[in-house]
Amino acid sequence: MNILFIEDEPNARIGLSLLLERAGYIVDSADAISDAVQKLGETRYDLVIVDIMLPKGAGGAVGVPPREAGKHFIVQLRGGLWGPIKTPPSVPVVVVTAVSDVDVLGSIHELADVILKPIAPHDAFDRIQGIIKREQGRA
Amino acid sequence: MFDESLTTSLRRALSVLADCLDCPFALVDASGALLEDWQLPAMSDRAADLGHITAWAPVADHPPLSFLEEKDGKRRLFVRLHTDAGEVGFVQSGDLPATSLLTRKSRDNESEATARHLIAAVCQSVTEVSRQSCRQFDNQDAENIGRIAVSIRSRAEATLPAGKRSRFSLDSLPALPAEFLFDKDSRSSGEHTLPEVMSQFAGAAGCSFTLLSLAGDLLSTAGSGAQDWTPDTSEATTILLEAALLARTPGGHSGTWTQHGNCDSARVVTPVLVDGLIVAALVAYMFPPKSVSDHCPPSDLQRTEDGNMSANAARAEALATGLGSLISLLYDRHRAARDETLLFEALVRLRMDSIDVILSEACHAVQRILGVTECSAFSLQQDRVVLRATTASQLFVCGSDRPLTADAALGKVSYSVGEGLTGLAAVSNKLIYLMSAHQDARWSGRVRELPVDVQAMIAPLVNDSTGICYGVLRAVKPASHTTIPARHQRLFAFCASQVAAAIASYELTRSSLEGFRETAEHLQDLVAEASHELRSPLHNILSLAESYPIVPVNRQEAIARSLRDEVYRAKRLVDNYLARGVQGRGQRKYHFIKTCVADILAGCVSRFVGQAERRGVTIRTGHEVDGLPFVMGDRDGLEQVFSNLLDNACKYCFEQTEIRISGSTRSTNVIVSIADFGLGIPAYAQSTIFTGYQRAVEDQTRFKPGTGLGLMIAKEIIERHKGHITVESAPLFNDPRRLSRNEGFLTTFRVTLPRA
Repeated sequence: MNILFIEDEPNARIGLSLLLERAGYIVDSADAISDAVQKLGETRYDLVIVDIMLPKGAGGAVGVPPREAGKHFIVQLRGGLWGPIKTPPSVPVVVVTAVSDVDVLGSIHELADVILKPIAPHDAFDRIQGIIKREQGRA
Repeated sequence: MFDESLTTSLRRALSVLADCLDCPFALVDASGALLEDWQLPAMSDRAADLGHITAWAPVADHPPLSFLEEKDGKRRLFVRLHTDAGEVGFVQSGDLPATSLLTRKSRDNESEATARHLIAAVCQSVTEVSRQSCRQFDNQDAENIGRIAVSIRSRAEATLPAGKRSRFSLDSLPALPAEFLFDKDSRSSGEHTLPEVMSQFAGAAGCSFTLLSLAGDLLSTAGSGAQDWTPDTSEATTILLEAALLARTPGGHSGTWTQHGNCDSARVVTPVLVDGLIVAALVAYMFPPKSVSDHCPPSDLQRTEDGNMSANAARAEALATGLGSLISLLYDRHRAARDETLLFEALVRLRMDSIDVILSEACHAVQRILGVTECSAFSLQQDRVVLRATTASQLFVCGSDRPLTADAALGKVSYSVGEGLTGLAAVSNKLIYLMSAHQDARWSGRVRELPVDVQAMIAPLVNDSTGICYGVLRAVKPASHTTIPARHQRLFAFCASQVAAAIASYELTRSSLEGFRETAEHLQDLVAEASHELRSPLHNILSLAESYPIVPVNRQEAIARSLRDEVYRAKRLVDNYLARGVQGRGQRKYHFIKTCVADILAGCVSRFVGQAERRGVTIRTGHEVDGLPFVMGDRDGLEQVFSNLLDNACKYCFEQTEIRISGSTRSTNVIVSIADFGLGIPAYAQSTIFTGYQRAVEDQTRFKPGTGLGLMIAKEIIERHKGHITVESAPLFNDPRRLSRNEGFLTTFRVTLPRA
């Protein structure tokens, strides 16, 4: 099972990706938007985990284009560039973020889960396992 | 025959009546020839309805003074005019419209009779006055006649017809207020009430007094038998008109013999005037008419042989005159006090919601209390050059080519400072009073061309303590013989200064509140930002801590180092936000000791090595830094400064580049430079980068959220050290160090500190 983990801080990636790998998932990391877009084009993923850090005054950033097939969201990675990422419609997306304005995130429609930082890797892992099981049950 | 002066007087008087009774008039001589055919201005818009006034000769020789004639389906009113030479002609009305008071049939024909009597009485009075005092009927007389005509008419019928606009608005006619007539409170201040005063005079004069309102109603009576006499409308009209026309004669009164039953009684009429215009009439009767029996007892009031009144009658006359003047004076004082009280109350209760509200309420108060036709306020705009009309109480007459409604005037009419009287007031420091616009060259040309002459008070709105001028307040009323009384001018000036004080107070409050609100918002933003920013290092610490036991042993040291870095990262955030948010309270104290810059730099660098290495960035410190002399510095503060600068450099330098730290000495200063190659700071931003101002994140510069803070704090700390901090950022192309971008900037932060 393929998971794409989009997170620019290695210190944040390390815990969760280790646990996911030990559970048997194949984890690909992307620390930049371009990287993420490229990987999404090449491989079919079963789950995408993304750290969204919305820019200040995030209302504008969530003015995403009207729904096409798929999920759109704007990502800003710390110190990096920001831009739109699009995932295929059937792939569940989990957002892990420090931004606690949940209303803002809520407009990014149909997320599988929103996980707020800080959270210990084990707890994040448990939640993601639950999502995977739910998605598999649905399929 | 008709002479010039009589004709002029009659014209003025009849124009007033035309306005009040909705009917034009003409003068016709005994043979029926039209002496004067004039379209009275008030009726000009209805000329088509009324038809051209042509002369009629009355067909019958009617005994009454006034009568109606009908011819060809049209009705006209005739009033005989008598002079010394006998009957000289008629005043003839135009074709009476259906709406005229004169043609409407009321239940008892009272209104028709009233109107006819009014016209007749006016004509008679005018003729009498013209004959007796050889003076012309002027504007003041017209004003007085108009007041009485409107009052009498309103008594005869409930209201004036809808849509009829008379110059004499019933609402604006003065009436002696109840508190003046019957005020018991004045007792406490030692003054007498009006009835008491009248009683005393009645006792002294040996007669009865009656005070009549302009509509002919009884206001107050004194003396025995006075209560029995109630004048009907005709008699009241005659009395009031006599009184009105007497107003212009100094010490005016009239002693008239009137016939009651078989006995003679005398009536003396004195006007009660305020500002030269009639507000009531005082009637003194020497002998109560109703209680006369057929057999008259001998009275003091006997004609002497030569037809003149007896000495007692003369004394009564004098006292009646005195009482009339006294009532005028008392009312004037009462009104002055009331105006002041009302104005003070209005000013105290000004709502301070905004400057416009303040000005608007003040204008309405002035208009209501000082009785001006309009009061408007002009605000001085930001440019301090233009005054713009911001509010007006009613019709805005001046300052434009034609009358505007208040809504149309707002914002459109303006003066430059110094232009016209309004502009002039803004630069002067006191009230300008203008008696007649037509005759005063200082007023702007626009106003001098208006058909109506006006008088005005204009006062600058200047705050006494600061001397700041906010604009101008202007009050206007039609010019007349009566100038605006001095006490009104004083009140107006006082009002202007109070309004200015109110505006000053409002602005002070608002700017304070603005300041407080900004501070509160700023703190809220800081707290929100700090909370969000701290979540990341905390999350990373958790992530690293849980990884430690499950990674291979050779990776554990790296994880431990990363843990330490993240904690310091959190510490930096705490320090920065604390420094920004708690100015004064809870702020750390600086301890200045001899400090080695090299040590501090080494410590900071070590904490960033891990973060830098991940992107292939190396941090190189020049050897000369070790040899830098000591500076007087606060160790934690300098750590914060260099950490923030390194943080900035690490964040924005390109991958695989080098951050270079160097140092030098110059006279009494030590200079440390931190240079990186990567995203730069555009020239226009270099001055603001230390002020915490953060631009939008659209372009790829060093303005990302959460970063402006660090530089701002660094600057503050360095300045506390009596040093300074600068930045240079210049493009550097074809640099061998750049590997991953097409262009980059060499950015150097330079910190200067005084030597120890």
